Amino acid sequence: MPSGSWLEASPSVASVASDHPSAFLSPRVSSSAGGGLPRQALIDTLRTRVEAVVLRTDPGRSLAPAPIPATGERASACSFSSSAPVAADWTFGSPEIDRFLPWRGLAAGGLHEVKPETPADGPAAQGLAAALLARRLAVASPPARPLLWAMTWRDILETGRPYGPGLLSFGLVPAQILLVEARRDSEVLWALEEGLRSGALAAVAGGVGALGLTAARRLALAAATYKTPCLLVTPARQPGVSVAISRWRVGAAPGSPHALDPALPAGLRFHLTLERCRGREAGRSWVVEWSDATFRFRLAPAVAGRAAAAELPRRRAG
Amino acid sequence: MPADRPLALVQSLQGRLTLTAVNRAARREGLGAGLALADARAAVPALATLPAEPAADLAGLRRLALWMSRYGLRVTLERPAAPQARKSKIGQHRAAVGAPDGVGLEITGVAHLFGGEPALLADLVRRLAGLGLTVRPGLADTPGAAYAIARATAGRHLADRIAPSGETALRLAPLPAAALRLAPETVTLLHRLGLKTIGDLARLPRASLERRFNSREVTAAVLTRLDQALGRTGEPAQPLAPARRYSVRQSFAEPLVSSEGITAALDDLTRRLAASLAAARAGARRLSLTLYRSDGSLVRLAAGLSRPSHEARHFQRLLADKLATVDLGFGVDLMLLAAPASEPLEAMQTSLAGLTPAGVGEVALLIDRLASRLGAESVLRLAPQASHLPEIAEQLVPALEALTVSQSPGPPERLRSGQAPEPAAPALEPSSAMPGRGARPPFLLPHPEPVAVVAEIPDGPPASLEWRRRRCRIVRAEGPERIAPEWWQPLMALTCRGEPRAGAAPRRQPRTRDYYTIEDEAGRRYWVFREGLYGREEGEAPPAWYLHGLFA
Repeated sequence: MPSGSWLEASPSVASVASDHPSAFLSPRVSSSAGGGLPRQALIDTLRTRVEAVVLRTDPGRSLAPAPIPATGERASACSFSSSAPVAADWTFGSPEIDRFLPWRGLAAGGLHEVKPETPADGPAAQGLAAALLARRLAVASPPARPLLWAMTWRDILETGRPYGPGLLSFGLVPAQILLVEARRDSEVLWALEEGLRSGALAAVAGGVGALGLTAARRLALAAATYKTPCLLVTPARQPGVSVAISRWRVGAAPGSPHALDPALPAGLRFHLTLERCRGREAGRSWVVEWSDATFRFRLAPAVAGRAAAAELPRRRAG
Repeated sequence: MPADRPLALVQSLQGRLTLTAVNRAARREGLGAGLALADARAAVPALATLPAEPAADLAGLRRLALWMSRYGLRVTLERPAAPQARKSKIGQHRAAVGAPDGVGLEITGVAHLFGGEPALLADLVRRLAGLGLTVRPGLADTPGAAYAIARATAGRHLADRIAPSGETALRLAPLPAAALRLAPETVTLLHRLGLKTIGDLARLPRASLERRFNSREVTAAVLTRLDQALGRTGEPAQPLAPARRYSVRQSFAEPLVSSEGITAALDDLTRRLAASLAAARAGARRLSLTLYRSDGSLVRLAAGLSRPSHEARHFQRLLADKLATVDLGFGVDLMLLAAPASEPLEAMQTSLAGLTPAGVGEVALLIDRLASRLGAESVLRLAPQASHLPEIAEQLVPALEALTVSQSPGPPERLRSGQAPEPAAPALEPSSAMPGRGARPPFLLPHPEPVAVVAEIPDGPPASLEWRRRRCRIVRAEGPERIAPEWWQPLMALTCRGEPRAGAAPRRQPRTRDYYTIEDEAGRRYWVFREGLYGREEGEAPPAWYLHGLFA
């Protein structure tokens, strides 16, 4: 078996899945049934380990074009050994994180998953998604392509709906957002896939509760085919999507104090953990700060980062 | 009820019960519409009666008329007497005679599609008989003549009921004058004058009619009806459904039962409709697809378009979604695709590579597809509105109605270059860079939620917050930002979820809000407000705290 070809979700499997639209209307929820949860997690960890092993043992890897041969821009971005910065389609804006990622940023043609650390961190996950979308819209070409944001009513009641005046401070222009308010997860998934397949959007984003493997694979395939990123916000306690290119675990972190008055809130900070990343060892975590002025992430100063990390276990226990 | 028993429908007209319709057995007994129920009972004691339902009759007739639009596009409801004839000096009003009792259909230039006029009429009678309806057809050059033939011809033969082109006067001559859609009083008057048939009337010199009637109005009514029947003057018609400018149809020899066949036919229809729209430089804003099922029922599907389009692929994808859910029943024998609303379509500048700018068409198609499946109210755009109240400062508008997504300005320049931090992005929106305005959260709850807050009175920031049964200590706070109710707006009461005091006056005066951005020890950031000022607005209830938005 040629090394490197298996990393892609097998296209033949995916295309078989896409031949059955009915499967999409009723996403499989078997993963929530007994026994499905730990098995999925096990497979996920196994897969990441195997990926890591393959990357380490394959000497031709660093010279080989790419671990994921599907898209051209990834091929150029994935020569790990080169230190020359390659312009990626979608970055955090923080050189440390972008350099760590195999695509010098996030891969534009793929499924990315954002998960809150605890159920109470749902707004943090949404906030990170908003910030990432703002960064994506800024570099998407051609410019002024809209983005699709699909939410179920459950999520709207839980964390609120996108609010234009506030999104402006994230750098998102409200007029470019197409908001879909769906009644069910299946409608969100359908809307996301339609958005991807239209090929006219800069990005699609959505929140779903349960996500079956078939539905996730369809999204991943559509995202790869149309080179449009898909950002999924999923609940904290659901198992992760195995076909996602990257999975981020997000929690709120104490914000930076205001320069003039420490009692005032200033920059928003997130505690970010890269739980899964195709082609990279997972588990790395950062504390990042979103800058309202430059619309980019930057690493929080080390002291603040340590304080946040120290505080984290206590918060989880509570 | 057995068909051979005399049956009549009765209705109370001006204080007395009157027959409005009778069945064949009753007509054989000599009864007819317009007779008082008491007289009818005296003549036929065994007469069974049912209350008349004019509204249901009219609805049924309308449905039948719509069904008839399969033969021709101009369908009218026929009324027996015109208003000016009822305004005669005799003045006896009979409301019942004004109600429509027939369907008119213009088949000019249509009959050959069905194999000629007799074949069309035979097809119509056969199909209606299949629906359990008896029909008295009439076919002539003018609506008036067709009306007269349909109602006054005795013969059942279809050949008797078709007046060939040019023979209208000949066919009408032996028919009674009542068939001319004249008010009953006028007909009585004509009878008294010995003018029993249409032929008698037509032979008379026109000038002498007025002298005989001694009434200009009656003369005018009679002459107008006569001229209309003979085609000497035109007759304005009010088509039931407005004639569609863009419509294509496809009929099938055998009823189509397979969805593949329907899809293929839809493919063809959309291509033809798109071609006719493109030829007229128009784009459809609404589409309506009508499926005529072989059992006489019909299904109407509609789809809206966010911007005018004449792309067959666009139409096809919009309608195919809806078509998938349609029950085809015993098969479909006719499909009609129309664009009831269309707009001139401006030519679009394409780029050198032949692509439309920024995928405008694709976005429109996406919006249409999302809206047609999820409902127009579920696909929204965020529109700013000039208001200080946060929940009003943004309005959600259906994307189908206002498509400016693709015409929006790009992201702010500083974001594009990723450097050069400037204090604020000007020229984005009037409210965004408003000086002195506090931060706004990226996510706003649909309704402010009541929270339990410990705060210093009168206007200290919260020190602790309990929301959704989670308590947290607040370590940083910014505020207050005071937002007063907009007195120039109509009274808008705050609607909150889980209103704590259900017994309080439901519609109280809006109060001033003090907004705070607060951050708890874990770094979660909330946007809360206190409604009401201590000392000034404590009238009905003490000030209360609400959570309105979330930062992260």
